[in-house]
Amino acid sequence: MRVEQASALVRALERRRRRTRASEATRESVAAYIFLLPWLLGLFGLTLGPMVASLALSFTHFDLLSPPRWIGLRNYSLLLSDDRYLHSMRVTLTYVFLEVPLKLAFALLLAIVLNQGLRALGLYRALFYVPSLLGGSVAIAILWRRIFSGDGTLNVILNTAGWHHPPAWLQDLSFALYTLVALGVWQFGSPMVIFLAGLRQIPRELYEAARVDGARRLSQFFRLTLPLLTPLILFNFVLQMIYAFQTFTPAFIVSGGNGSPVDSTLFYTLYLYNEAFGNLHMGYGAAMAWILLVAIATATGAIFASSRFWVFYMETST
Amino acid sequence: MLTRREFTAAGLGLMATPTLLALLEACGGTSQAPAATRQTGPEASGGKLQIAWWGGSDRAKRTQQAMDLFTQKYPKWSFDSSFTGFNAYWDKINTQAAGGALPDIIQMDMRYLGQFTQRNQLLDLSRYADGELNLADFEKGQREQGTVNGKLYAVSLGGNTQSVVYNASAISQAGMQPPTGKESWDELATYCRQLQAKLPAGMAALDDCSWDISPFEVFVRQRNKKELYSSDGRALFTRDDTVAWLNMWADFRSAGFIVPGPAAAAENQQDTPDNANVVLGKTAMRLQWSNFVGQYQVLMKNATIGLAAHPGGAATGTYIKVSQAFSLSAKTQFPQAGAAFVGFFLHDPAAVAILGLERGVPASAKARATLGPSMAPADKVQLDFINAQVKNSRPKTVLDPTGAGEVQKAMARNALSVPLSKVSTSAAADKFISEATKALTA
Repeated sequence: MRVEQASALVRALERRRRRTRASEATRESVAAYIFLLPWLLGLFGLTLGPMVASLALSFTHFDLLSPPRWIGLRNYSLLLSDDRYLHSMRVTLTYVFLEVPLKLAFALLLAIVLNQGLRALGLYRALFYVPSLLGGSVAIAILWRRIFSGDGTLNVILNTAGWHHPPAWLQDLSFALYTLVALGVWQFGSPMVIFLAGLRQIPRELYEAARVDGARRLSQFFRLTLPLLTPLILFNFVLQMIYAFQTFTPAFIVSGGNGSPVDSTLFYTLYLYNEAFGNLHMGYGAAMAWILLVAIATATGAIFASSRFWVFYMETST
Repeated sequence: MLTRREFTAAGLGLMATPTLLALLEACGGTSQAPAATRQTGPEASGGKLQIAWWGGSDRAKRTQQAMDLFTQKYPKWSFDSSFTGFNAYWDKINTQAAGGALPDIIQMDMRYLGQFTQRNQLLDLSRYADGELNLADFEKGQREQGTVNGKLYAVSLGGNTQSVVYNASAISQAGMQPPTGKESWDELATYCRQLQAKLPAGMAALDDCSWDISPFEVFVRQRNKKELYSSDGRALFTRDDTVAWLNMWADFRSAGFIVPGPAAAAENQQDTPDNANVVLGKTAMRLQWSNFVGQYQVLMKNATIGLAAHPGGAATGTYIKVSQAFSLSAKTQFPQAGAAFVGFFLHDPAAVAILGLERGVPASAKARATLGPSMAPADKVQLDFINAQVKNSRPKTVLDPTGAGEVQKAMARNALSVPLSKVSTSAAADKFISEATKALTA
């Protein structure tokens, strides 16, 4: 009898403790949501709302000044036969395929150089990071225009160095896009900082063990450093690809806003902007924006799907 | 202390006051004095006028000085101004129009006036014509160009016309006479060939203007005695016109007297006087709007700039154009102050002297007289030139349609594809016609 009573008491206490614990958890999550509220308001009011609206607008003819008119999938079918649109896609893909790998390679190279136990590492790291802070800005794009224009800084230097008729980089169809690739690669700072952090986390013992086994520096890099960095390469790759697809400012400034010369720098976003805000074809622009979103999502998905074949996560035993 | 209810009521009242005032103003007429006895000048309230224009640094300086003078005269009024190059300007203005946030005072181009009035973006200024704007002595043609369906939407800041703007110093150093303005296109080519032989290396006789819609318009008017567009907004230029135009420039190019493709592309990318090939010393002549003579002169301290009539027959091809105008936003809060500022800009002697002929020759007879004695030499050249060209031109009365801006860009793109990507002139013409047709129907 007494045992039964005692066990009943224990059970009651247990129940009560669980209840308070549960209510504590609820209270915590309520607090969390209150703290999240400003962000959630932004998400629904400023991001998701307009996004849904733009999806709806992509099925309309809309010039902003008169009410939108429903035209179904016509914007999308028009895009497929729009030569300038298809051209802008080619320009952007060329840019992404060149800029992203070059930038990552450059960032990794510098990270490795900086990781050689330099004095004043912080200073160099900051210096190399500066272009990334400035790179997307209008001022740098204008500077770029000055450097690469027909009688710009670069050509003055080349002239004194003995090359008498260097091309006008920004007005030559075979170079204009590559000057923008160079501008993109120059902003290697943020992947570099991430690589540098990754390099410093690789345990020294691994290198010592590799040396004992007789591995040379090159094979240390390919067999040890590179595999251990693959998670960070994946991370940088995805982020930089997403940025690259959306490149706008440099193309806008350097080309004078119209993708010139002769559409050679007509980036996807630039054409989108010109159609939407220059010609007030908002529905058409919205359709373009959604195709871009789907394209970026697909590319990201493909990279993640492929990652299990090449990304190596070190088992950490703690 | 206020109770909560009183507080709310007071708040609502405060909020309602401006709305009520605006409503009253909108229902207007009855509460306002008739125009003749009404006090002209800006509203007594004071405020900040937003103003936007396109143009280079010299224009910015002069415009700023004129605004400062207005603020001196009416200390309650100040300005919030912005300026950019031509292409970027229209992207921005279009966006602002779409968002219902046009600046109060907008510099207007005749290629865009149709589009903006069609979309009801501009204020009808007719009621200010005799008061604040004081258009009594305004040149009739320029006033008419700013009038759509009997309503005044754009007030000319000066007239100009397509012409040959040339570096007189470079031409005389080459031992040649400047062009006479009576040349046919063939004679111009002969002249350029002779000039090219005597110019220093790196300077072409003529700029590559194949990408510029304005001389193309003159060319089309000369060829067909037609306009670029019909009054219902269709293209009147044909594939044939375009091929002839591009072939002519291709011939000039192979004769070696126009600037190379990259220099033309650079000028198209940043089309402000500061980047003009004439100013940079890359060419001796350009087909250009006549008011640029002053703008180039300001930037070229060591040369004299001159003007000649357009080749190929100025009489049939050219017209006196409203170089640029001021319009007011349909939604401006300060219509009277906006109109007063435009009037000040046109007539105030000090403002007129500062502005000179930078935006073209003033349409007001009195303003031209004010300028007379104090004029800079380049302005004198421009004034005499326009006075002569009024009789040597054919007025244009059709307004450019919506889409004309995009046609302009399509011309630049496709004409430049000939020297830069070695596209044939007929292929470039095909592409231009199809893109232009699309721009005009979409």
